Amino acid sequence: MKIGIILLALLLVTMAMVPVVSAEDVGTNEYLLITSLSDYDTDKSQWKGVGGMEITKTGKTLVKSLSALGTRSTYTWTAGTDIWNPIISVKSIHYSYSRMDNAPYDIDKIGVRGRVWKNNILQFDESSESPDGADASVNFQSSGPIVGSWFARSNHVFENDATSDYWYPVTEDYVNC
Amino acid sequence: MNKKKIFQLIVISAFCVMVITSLIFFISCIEYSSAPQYSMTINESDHAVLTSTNGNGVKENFGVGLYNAPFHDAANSMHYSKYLEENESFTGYLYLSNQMSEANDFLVFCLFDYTQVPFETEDGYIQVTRILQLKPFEEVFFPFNLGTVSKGAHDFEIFVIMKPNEHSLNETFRRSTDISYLGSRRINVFVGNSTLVEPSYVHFDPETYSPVCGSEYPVNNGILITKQPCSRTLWFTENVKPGQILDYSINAAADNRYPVSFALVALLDYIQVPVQIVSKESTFFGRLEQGEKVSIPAQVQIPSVEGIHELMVVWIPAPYRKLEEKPGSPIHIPEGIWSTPSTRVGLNVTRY
Repeated sequence: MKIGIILLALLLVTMAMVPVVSAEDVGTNEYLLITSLSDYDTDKSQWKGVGGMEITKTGKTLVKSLSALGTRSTYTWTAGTDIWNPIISVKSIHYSYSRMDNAPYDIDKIGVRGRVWKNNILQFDESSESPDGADASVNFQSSGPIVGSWFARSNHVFENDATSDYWYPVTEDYVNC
Repeated sequence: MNKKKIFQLIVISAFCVMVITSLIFFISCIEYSSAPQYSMTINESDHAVLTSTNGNGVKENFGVGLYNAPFHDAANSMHYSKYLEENESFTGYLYLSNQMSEANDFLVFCLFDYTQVPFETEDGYIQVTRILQLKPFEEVFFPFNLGTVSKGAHDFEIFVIMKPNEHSLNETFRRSTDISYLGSRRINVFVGNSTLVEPSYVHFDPETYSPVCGSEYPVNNGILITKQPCSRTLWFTENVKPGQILDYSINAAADNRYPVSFALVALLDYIQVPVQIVSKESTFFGRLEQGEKVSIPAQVQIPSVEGIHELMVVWIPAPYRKLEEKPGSPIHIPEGIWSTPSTRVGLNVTRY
């Protein structure tokens, strides 16, 4: 009986240790919520990575010409990559999006190519390009063993003839499991 | 078996399960991503780049445009086509914007009908490649002149390669080159009343073409260059002898959603070389059906000069396709017109 009680105590201690570690994994970063993307994981809590890389670029465009001066509004292009490991898998998200006043701002071409390697072996390669769109993204979820060095990179494209603005940044992120 | 033993057995079993689970968890997740969240904002006012913050982690960030005159506006953009009279010189301005907080070198070269061609610059030099050095956040208009071009419809693409003088064999740098450090703009060039003619493509008939990568091969709508056919392992460097013929594989794949026609251009030290030495064709044109994935055998002749030489292949989808109905109205091409570079392989040429 004593052995049983000792083992039960050890079991409780072991159970208590796991959440301490996983709390670090979740992190506290506010993360992007990209809307209107049909193939995304609907569980937004799973999107919480531990950082990732994100770049934004802002520009101005004439949106109204009713007055003599017209009105200039600011648009923002955002490019990012995040790879992280929920408990038993590795996930990544590769995204490009265009916004004006927090609403989708359609441009001629928006796209992203995402690649993921594990120990320099390619695991994932997908691209998404939207003509006259405001969002493009691809995402990855591992299957199989996750131990190793994971590296994710995204090659982004933003082209808008109306504002004569072209942007081709690269973002990347990594996680070691 | 009495109740006490049953209880002990249950507790021991539960304990073992928890210990194994915890071990798996600890082993697999002992180290977490240490990548900080990089954030860099470029504030633009009338297209003038002004500031940035905390851009140290960003390795590549630049803009490329093609213009008829050195003004960064839609009225002077070449959009996706240019119309020339017979005997009129093809001139233009490459707009290049270094959107990074450090100075960078960029190598410029042009493909006309998928063949690397010389171009004349403002200083009167005619060259095949030209290095531009840009200060932090500097933007330039770089004038170029290809001279007169023959009557007909053509494809023209101007390429910019970042970090052309980086020859480190370091794995981190080599890995960073895959699908990176390259920007380009493609246009159709029409001289006279002409229509674009597609080239004859290599079709990869599965009954006669053996190096077919399976559907599980991860590449989509692009390439991966490797040492062995259909390999998934990145190829970074190779020790080679001067003059040697080096075999490698260009693993090419269509997307699962649509077929793709493509051009492959191999560059050795940024100068175009045949993809396959036997064929001697400067460019490889191929076509893949939806979801098709193949490995194309390729060879390169190693230069006689010792040192580090750079080998890369550029994937150019949808060659000779009309890109816009009229200036400013682009045509959507499912596979895109987005040229993508392979890994830059460092060839370490030594005699011994």
